[in-house]
Formats: sequence, structure tokens, C-alpha cells
Amino acid sequence: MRTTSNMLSNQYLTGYNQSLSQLSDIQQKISTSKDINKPSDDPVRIVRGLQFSGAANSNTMFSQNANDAISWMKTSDSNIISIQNVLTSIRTEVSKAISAGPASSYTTAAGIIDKAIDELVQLGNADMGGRYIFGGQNDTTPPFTRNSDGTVSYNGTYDGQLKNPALPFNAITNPNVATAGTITMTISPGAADPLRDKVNVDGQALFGTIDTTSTPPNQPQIFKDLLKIKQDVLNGTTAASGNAAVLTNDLGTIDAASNQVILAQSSIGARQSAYQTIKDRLVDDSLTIASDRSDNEDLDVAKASIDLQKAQNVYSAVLGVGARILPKSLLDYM
Amino acid sequence: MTSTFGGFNTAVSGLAAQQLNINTAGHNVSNASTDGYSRQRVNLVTTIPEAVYTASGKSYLGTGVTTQSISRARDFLVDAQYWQQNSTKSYWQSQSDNLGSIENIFSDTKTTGLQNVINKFNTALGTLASNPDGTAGISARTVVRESANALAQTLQQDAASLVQQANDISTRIDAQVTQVNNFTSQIAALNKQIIVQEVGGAKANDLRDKRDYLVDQLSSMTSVNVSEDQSGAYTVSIAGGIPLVQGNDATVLTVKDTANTPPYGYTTTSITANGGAINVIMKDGSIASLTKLRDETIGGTNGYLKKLDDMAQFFMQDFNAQHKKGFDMNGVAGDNFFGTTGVDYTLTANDPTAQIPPTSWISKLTVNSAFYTANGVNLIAAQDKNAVTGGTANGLNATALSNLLVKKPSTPSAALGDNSLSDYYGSVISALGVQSQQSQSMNSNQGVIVNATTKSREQISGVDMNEELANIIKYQQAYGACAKVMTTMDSMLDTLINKTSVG
Repeated sequence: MRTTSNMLSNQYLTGYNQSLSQLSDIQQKISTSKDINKPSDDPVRIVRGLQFSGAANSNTMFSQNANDAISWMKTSDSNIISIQNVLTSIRTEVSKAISAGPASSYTTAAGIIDKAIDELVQLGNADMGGRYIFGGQNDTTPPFTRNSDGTVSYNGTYDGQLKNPALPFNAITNPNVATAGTITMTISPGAADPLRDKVNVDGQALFGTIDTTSTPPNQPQIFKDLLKIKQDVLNGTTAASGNAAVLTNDLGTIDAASNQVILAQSSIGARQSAYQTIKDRLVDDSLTIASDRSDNEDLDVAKASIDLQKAQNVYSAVLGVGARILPKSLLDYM
Repeated sequence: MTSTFGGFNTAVSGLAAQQLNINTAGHNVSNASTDGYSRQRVNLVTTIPEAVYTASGKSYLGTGVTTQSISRARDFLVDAQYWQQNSTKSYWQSQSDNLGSIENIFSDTKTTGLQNVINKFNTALGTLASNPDGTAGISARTVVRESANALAQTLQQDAASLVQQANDISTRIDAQVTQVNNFTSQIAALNKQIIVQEVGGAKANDLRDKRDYLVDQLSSMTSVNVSEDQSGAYTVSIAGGIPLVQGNDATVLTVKDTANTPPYGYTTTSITANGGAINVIMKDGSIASLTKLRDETIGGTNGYLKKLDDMAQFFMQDFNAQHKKGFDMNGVAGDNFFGTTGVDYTLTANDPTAQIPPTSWISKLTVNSAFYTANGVNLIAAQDKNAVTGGTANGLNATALSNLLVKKPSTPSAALGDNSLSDYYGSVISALGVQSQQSQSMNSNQGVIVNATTKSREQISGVDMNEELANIIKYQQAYGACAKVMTTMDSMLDTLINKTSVG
């Protein structure tokens, strides 16, 4: 085979280019600390990377929602405990009123019960970041109002409410909406499920059936009961005989109310623990995703450093060979 | 009996031949790095001998050397092979360069790509689903609006970069066709000169080198078929049989630009010959590669624009349809999220690609301007159809909207088929990756083949400095020897004429 000096320099240039592009490749990988930098580096891994980034993003979103939901439910829970305490104190007042006492003691007890109702209204209007937690989907206005006549009205929404409360029932245009009081915060992929993803307790679940026909309308059952009990206690001053039986009966009503509240509390407690579990799982998942992602695209720095060293060696060898061999010709010896 | 001074002539012919050899070697050395140069050699032959009578009868006495020709070391078959391989190599090189720049447009690994804005939009919708009203709701709604805007702008930006690339390609095709015309007219001119120089049978070596080098360069732009006729002229035709050069004539190619080609509005070019009478379709080479990359509907700039357009169509049709299923903060049914209020983009009449002239969905993709009016963010329909009058903390439709981005749809959409937006984008990226990877490996494979062909050419035609220098030493020695013959003869004649005592 005939070899010419041009062939040597061409071959040298090809080799030089190859080693230089290898060097630049490794340098790009090291500077971005990523093994894959464009789709053609590895189409499969790039798309996996896209999927991981989507999954990481969803995970962050669901974790955020889970945090929101859990603090929502915690606030609900602590307020429900206070509500429970208020009901207990009312019960104490009523049971004290069953035994005879001076007229003023009944007035005082009724006054305490009235204040307790105010307190319940206040607890029912608890809010978190400007959102009222017991108002159902109408969470931007205080859900409970104490009217001038002492009654309490509920302004929120509740499960089973008419779509438009101002209009009569119509199966198509104005049906009862099963999830009208439900606030959802999704923490798992897919469509939101109002039953699974419910994070709130609405006014009806907390304080009993809302009476839309009362005057004024929308009074929750428990408040109606408490007003009657207050009246029953007041009545003790005027008609002491026979009132004890009524008040004893009222104790049963209060117990029923307590049970209602406990039911609401336990439902939110159960859901909170479910959310807590999922939140913990989301944290685990995020670690898994991060490590999958890192496995998929991160650069093995140790290997890259060695590759870089190798590429540099090759590069300097190429330069050395070029400098030593290419300039030599017969001319040097003539 | 030979003539007394015959030996002088023999030596002189030697001197002249060696000088020619040295001159040719000098020419070779001088052109060692001239592109397209092939080494030349002097073909020497002995002159016609003279009959002498010897004891055994007639013998022939050599009379010296003469030059038969100066030829160039060249193999036409290797040239033809090089031209063919070079076209293919140039085709793939151009493919891989341009696909590489499309890859740069979809720069997802740097968290500036489309996937990133899809993710952000998805998060924004997820946050809105949990916080549809109140102070948190206002900020969630604003984030939804702005991230949608960022998404629309990223799509448009990517599309604009692709359109820009298509325009660049058209400009480059223009420039390359001008080059082709330049090369073919030079080849035709060289044909003419070569015929004139070779009429007596000699070879016009340097002109042929120049002509072959022009064909070399031409072959990188388009595949060429070259044949040589008896007079020495090249006929250069491109695939499909259109002759670019025939004897003294070169066919001038013209490029017709069509600006703002629908639906994406870039410049397309078509190449014609004979004043527009013949459409020229190039094969192989960079021009064919560029044309294919620009116009291809699967892969290629046009194809990737179509993919982006599909995504824009998805937002205008599917996303809007889901948005319309929801209700806004005022309890009113939602309108378009993208585009203009009140327009039904599922109707053919509102399909930009069905307009005359057609435009793209991308050009229509904007966040509804109503969202930018006072309290406009409240028009984002986060609630589902079961929202109760007065209840605004219902984010079920926002969840449905977010699912549309990342979850496989229950009913296939016109734009994306059975895919979620995310999956669709992933498939675009993987297709691009595979395509680009293939072009890169084709490019490097073809590079190896071209290198091998270049090597075999170089083996035949290349100038080797050491070889030339060795030859020069040889020629120098021969020249000296010839001169020595002359001085020897001179001294012989001196002896004969001056030393013999005559008279």
C-alpha cells in the first residue's frame, strides 16, 4: 500500500477530531452533571426522565395538598374538641338546674347556656387562612350567625342540599346535591372522589339537620335544641314543679347532640389518619422517584472523572504524535 | 558505423528527460497540499534505436530517451465511488446537524422545556383544586392563568424557533443552488478548455484535477452521475437524469421561493431547470437532506411543528371542552380557557387549519383575554357541575383539567388520540431522539466509508513528500551521470582531435 504524507495528516486530523469531541462530550456531562443531555443521547432514558419529572411534580403537588388537608383537619379536630367541651359544660348547667334552687340560679344557668351558644357559634366560625372550616363549600363567609332573636342560622352548604336553595326541588334543574358540602383535596392521581377526598365537616354534619323551613330559615337542629333547653332552664324559675322531668329529658337531647359531634370528629379523625398514611407514603415515593431519577440521568462522577482522564491522555498523546511525526520528512536528512 | 557526435545527443536527451522529471517532481511537491491535486509522473520511453552492423549481423544501438507523456495518477472508478459516498455522507451530516438543532429547541434536560411548563401548569391546577376560593384562591387562580400563559408562550416559542429553522433551511438551499450553478458553469468551461488542450492526444492534467475537484464539491450537495465522452468532456447529471453539464453547456437551476407557506408561514423553495419548465428533485447530498428535513410531515421541521400544533389544538378543543363543563366563581358555566370567549373551536368553521389560507392552532393559542380583566381570574371554571349556588370551594373541575394534562383520556381526542398531553410530548421527544440518534450513527458510519474512499484515492493520487524527494535524488544522480557521459565523450574527442598528431 502506498502511504502518503497527506494520508498521515488526514488520519491525524480524524483522530484529533475524535479525541477532541470525546473530550468535549465528557466535559459537557461533567459541567451539567448529567449523563444524558439531549434526546439523541438516549431516547429511552430521556423519556423516562420526563416521566420522572412529571411524577416528582405530581408528588410535590399531592404532598402540598396532603399538608393543606391535614392542617385543615387538625384545626377542625381541635375546634370539635372545644365544641364538645362546651356541650359538656351546658350539660353540667342543665343537670344542676334539675335540682331545685333559687330563681336567680336558673336565670344565671340560662345566661351561661346563652353564652355557650355564642361560644359554639364562634367555634363553628373557626377559620384557617381565611377559609371557614365548617361552612361546606361556602367557605368564605362565616357559616353561623346568631340572629337578634337568639336563633342561629347556617349560611354554609351541606351534603344533600338543593343545587339552588332559593328554588324548589326539581330532579333535573335543581336536584339535591349529595356532595354539596364536601371540600376535596386530592392526594392521589386520578379524578377527585368526593367521598374519598373529603377533608371537611360541614355545618349539618356538625350541628345536625338544617331546617330550611324554620323562621328564620336554616337553623341547625342542635342549636334549635339548645335554645329550647335554655328556655326550659329559664322556665324553672316560674314553674319549678314538673320541670325537672323536662330538663332530664333535655339531658338526653344534649347527649344526642354530643354523639352527633363525636361522630363528626371520628369521621374527620379517621380521614386524617388516612391522609397522614398517604402523606408518609408520598414522602417515601418522592425519595424513590428522586433516586430513580438520579439513577436514570445523573452522571457517575467517579466514572466520568476517569473517562475524562483517559480522554485527556488520548488527547495529549494525539498532540504529541502529531508534533513528533508529522514534521519529519526526508528533507531533514538531506 | 555510428556518428561521432551521436553519443552527445543521447546524453543530451537524458539531461532533458531528467530535468523534466525534476520539474514534475517540483510541481508535485509544490502542489502537495493543493485540494484535488493528483500527482503527476513523466512517462519516459527510449528513442528509436539506430542499426549498427556487428560481427553477428545487425544490432540496434540505443539513442537516448524521450518523453512520451506526463500523466496524472487517478482512478475514475474510485472517483465515482467517492462522489456517490460523499453525497450520502453529506446527506446524513446535514440531517444530524439539523436534528441536533431541533433537539436544542426542545431543551427539556435544562428544565426550560415544554415538560417543565406542563408540570407547572399541572401543579397550578392542583393547587387551585384544593384552594378554589378566598385569598388563597385568588393567588391560585392567578398562578393558573400565568402558568397557562407560560405554556402557551413556550409552545409558540418552540414553534417560532422551528419556523426560523425552516426559513434558515430555505436560505441555505438558495445559497447551495447558487453554488451548484457556479460549479456546473465552471465544469462546463473546463470541459471546453480540456477538449481544446487534449485535441492532440495529450492529457490536460491540471485542468482535469480542477474539474474533478469541482465535481467533488458538487457531490456534497447532490448526488451526481458523471460520464466522460471521447473528447474528454464530462456529462454531469443528477439523480433522475437531468443533465447539469453537457459539454460546454451548463443547466442553470433556479430556486422559486414561496414565502409564508401555510399553515406555519415559513419560506419553502422549489428548484426548477430550463426557466421553470422542469421540476428538479435532488437525491442525496445536502440539498435533498435540507429539503426533506424542512418538508417532511413525519419527523422534520414540518412534522415537529405539526406535533406542537396538535398540542395547541388539544388546548383549544379538549382543554376548553373540559373547562366549559365547569363553573366559575360566579356560578356561571365556564367559557373557553384558551382563545376567545364564545367561540366553539370544535366547529370546522373555527378550525384555523381549515381556513383559507390555513393557519396553525399555535397562532390562535392564547389564554382567554377575559381572564386578564378585573376579577377575570374568577372566570376560571374550577367548580364542577354539582357546585351549589353560593358554594365556591368546589375544585373538582380543576382536578379534571389537571388530569387532562397527565392522565390518559377516557375518550380519545381529535388532537392527541389516546394520549395525555404529557405522554404525547414524551412520544415526540423519544421519536426525535431516535431519529437524531439514527442520523448521527448514519453520519459517522458514512464518514468511515468516505474516509476509506478518500484513503484509496490518496493511495493513488496523493503526493508523498519523501517519495518525491527520493525521486529527486534519483533524477539528480541520473542528470549528473548524463553530464558525466558528456564530459567523458568530450575528453574522448579531445584525445582524438587534439592529442593525436596529425600533420
